[in-house]
Amino acid sequence: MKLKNLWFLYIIFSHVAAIFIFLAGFLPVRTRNQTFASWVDSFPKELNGLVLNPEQLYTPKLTQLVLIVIDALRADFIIGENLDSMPFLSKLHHNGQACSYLAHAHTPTVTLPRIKALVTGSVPGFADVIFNLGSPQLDEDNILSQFAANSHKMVFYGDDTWLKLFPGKFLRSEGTTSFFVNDFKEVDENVTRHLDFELSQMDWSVMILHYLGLDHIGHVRGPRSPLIPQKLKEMDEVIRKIHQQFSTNDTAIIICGDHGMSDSGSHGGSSKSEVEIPLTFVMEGCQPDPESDSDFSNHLQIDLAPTMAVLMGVPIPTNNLGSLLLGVTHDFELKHKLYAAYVNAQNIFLQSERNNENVEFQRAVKLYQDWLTNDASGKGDYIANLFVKAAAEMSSLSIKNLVEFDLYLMIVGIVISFQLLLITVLECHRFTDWSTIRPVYSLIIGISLFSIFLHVLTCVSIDNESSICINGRVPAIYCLGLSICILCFFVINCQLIWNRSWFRFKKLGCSPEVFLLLGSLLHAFSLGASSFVEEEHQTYYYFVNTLALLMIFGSKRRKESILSLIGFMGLVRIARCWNQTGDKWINEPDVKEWLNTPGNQPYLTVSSVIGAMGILHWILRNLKLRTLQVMATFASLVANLAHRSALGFFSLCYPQSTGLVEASVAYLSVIVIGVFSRERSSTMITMWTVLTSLLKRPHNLILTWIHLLQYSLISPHLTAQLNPFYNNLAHYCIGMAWYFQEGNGNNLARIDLASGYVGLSSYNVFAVGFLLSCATFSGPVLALLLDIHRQKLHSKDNTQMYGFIYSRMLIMAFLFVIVTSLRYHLFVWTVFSPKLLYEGTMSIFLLVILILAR
Amino acid sequence: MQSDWPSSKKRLSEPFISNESIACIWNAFLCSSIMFWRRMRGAKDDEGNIFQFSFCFSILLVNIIFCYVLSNFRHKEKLQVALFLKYGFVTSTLVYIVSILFGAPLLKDWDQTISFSMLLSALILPSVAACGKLGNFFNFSCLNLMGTNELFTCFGAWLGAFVIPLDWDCSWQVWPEPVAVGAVLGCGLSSLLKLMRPAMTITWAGYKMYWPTNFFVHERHV
Repeated sequence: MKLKNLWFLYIIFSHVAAIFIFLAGFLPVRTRNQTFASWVDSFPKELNGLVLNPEQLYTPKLTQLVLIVIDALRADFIIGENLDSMPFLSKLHHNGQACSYLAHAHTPTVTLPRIKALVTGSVPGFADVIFNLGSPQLDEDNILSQFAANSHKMVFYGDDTWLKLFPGKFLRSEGTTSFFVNDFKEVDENVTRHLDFELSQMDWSVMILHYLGLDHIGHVRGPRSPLIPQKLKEMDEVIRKIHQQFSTNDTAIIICGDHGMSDSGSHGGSSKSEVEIPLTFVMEGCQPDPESDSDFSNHLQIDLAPTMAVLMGVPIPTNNLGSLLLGVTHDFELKHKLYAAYVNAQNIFLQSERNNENVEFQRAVKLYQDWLTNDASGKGDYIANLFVKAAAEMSSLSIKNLVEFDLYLMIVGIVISFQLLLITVLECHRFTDWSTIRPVYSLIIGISLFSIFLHVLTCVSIDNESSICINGRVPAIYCLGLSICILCFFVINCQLIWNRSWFRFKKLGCSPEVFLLLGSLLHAFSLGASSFVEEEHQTYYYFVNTLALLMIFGSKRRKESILSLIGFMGLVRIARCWNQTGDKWINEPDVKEWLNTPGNQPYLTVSSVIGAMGILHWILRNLKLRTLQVMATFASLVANLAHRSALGFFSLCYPQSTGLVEASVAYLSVIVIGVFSRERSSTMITMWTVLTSLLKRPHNLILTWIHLLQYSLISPHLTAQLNPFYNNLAHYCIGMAWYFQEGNGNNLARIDLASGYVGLSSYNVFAVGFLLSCATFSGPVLALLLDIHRQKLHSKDNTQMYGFIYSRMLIMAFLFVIVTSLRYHLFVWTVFSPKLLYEGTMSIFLLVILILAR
Repeated sequence: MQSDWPSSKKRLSEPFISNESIACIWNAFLCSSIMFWRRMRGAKDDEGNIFQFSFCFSILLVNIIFCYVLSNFRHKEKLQVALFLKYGFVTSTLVYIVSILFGAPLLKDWDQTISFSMLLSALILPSVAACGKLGNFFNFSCLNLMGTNELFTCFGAWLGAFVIPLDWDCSWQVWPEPVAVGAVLGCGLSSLLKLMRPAMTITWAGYKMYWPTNFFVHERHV
């Protein structure tokens, strides 16, 4: 019994380890050029014998600069027909004192990578999403370091991510935290209240403001909320205030968004509305793009870094890949403009050896040389354009080549995960007893020697760039430690497979069982197509319904089964219209949208109250609880409703409150339920349902009840018809259907950040991470707990959970192979990597809960 | 589940060509002509799908008449047209409900869903009628008697739906066309398989395995 538990833990632990091994290869920590640009060596001083003097040619045009970053300012909020939402700014546009450029941000469209891109001009990788919540200091060359090195004084007000990235760089600063998503007003007032003081002080030359309110409104209320125009008006006021007290000929105000906002109000993905942002310059003598080009804009968000550097006359950051915005430099003297364009292109040119093949750049350099010797001023603008075009070409090539995978490590991860999958499958069909383990020392020694030999051979001859080979790029201890760990897993797994391989598959079973087995394989294979990843919810809904239909055919007492299973299918049909997700049909009307229109608030209130009552009723009927626990459940659900009323979702008269007290009462009741537990599985289900229903959006409250009803309808048939392994698979399938019915999806933008901050008064990475995972994975975990409860009910202490582990491992192993083989696919960063991150997180979270609950 | 394959004794007393074989030939002919018609229509760059209400309804009527004729000429018990009509419409309703439950749009393309359900019931009708299962249709035991033909038709329709979410943006990817094509192909394929079944019987170690009904039906043959 003890040994069995140990092996179980070992399998789960090594599954998690395999995920980390694969991710370490797939998202390698990139080594960057750490040098900082300086006046001495980052300016070309001569061009084929012609002497260029940077001190004369590269002079500052501005003395003071204000950069206003408005979080989630998407392009169509202020560009195009909606220009009037900011009346003052549009007036400036008409007077020619301001111009806007449409620019593309790179994915992932999350704040931290985008801030890094803004200041360094390079493209941070996907791994930065993971570090988005805890931001480490930026030690790369960036525009703020250049400002500081050239004795510009900076002040900053806004998102405190900046303060963590650049500690000690600012003369004066105050951070606001972006972690109270329900706060629309105060977060921006805390920035604006410093303006009067700073505008009277004027001892700074760069002021950076980062407004978060718009992003918060987007997350909570969506882009069509009436609060958005209000917010834009407020931003317009800020711009007017700064402009009146500040603007002269040598100052500029730059307004930009860090990322856009999808139509559901979130961000993180790569849809058009998320990546398109405006870059607005309020300054004298800029020139907007010609009208005809406005649809087809090649500007990038990272273009802002070199443009700011040129405007302020500081060296362009070393790793910059953005190209100068020529429209901004319209009023420059021609020789200054040309030199700036040349410096920018030269900087990008030097970053990669592949750029030697670039014809445009060579031609531009030659023309520039001619221009310098002959002073043929007619061609100047053409040359500048050519430089910018060459810079854009070279940078897009470099961005493509920035991604380096550690293929060897990835393959090792795949091999280990397939071994684990095999072990789990053998485990599911095991006939032999555990006592038959025979230690085969010679086998272990043989395999380990063989794999050491293979490892050395691979490192020496094929792939010595990998981080498990000693090559001086990473510390040797890291390489050796990682290699030894991998070796241990490999050898133990080989041994396990060898020991368990006296097995015989029983006949496959009845038709629902065959369907579950083949369906799980079919689903794993289908993840290879990007559309099936985007529309994965359709697969699960389809499978769950097919399962129910097959169980009608398989059941013995058919008349009752038809009623209950058709009822189950009907509830699934209703729940699938609750939240549209995916990509293709996301704009279809759904219940969520209907409930959240302001006019339908009474319905939302009624549905939430019904939902809470239904959950309570279900818990009372189906679970064994003490009286105290029942009272705590009741208290928690009431506090849950009160919390929502306090936040203004309901049309009830409720006293003014921030909702913190209500939420903490609810949390406290959950703890009370846990402390006075009588039966473990019932308690776990109650705690989980009550906790997640607090975190969910109000329109999803009644959905939880629908899920529990679905389960009540189908569970007797599951117990009667399927054996434990297939029961696990069926529960997993149903849990995943619930997961998608709640509006989750395989796009990073589908994460509902607001649910991570329910009832928190101060930001804490672990608390937010935990609550966020709870809210996101509430469906699968609920199914897992229900399955444990069901098994405990029927047999005392013999729970069979390998089916769950099998489904997780199957999907992970196939996804590893798919991602490895498609790593240069067009959609790898927008579809497959988010999917990989979702599945990895889900595996870890689900298995931890599994260990805790069984 | 039990096989609809008659035991060897019974087979000797049967006529040269059985009712089932006639139904299979008819099915194969009907399905291939539907596919051929679809091809011809596609060549004339017609955008809309051919599985419109009138088309599916006429196929249902044709199959009902065929079954009536078959039962009157070949079957021992003469069946009324009304029974076939009733069967056709009840099955259509069932298929309609099931496809709504499986996620067919409820309000937008309701006429398409109705025509699909009539097509599916029309495809199933001949093989059901040929086995003489119609008599006890209205108790649920008929669900036991899912034969090869019915299984393949439903399975083809089931597989056809997998094309719908792909992002190819083709005109034929819209509900219910791929599902209907899948059903027609499944029906035609299974009819051909059924006709060829004597050739596909595998003899191994004294067992005969009949494929593909009931996965594997073992029958001792020594």
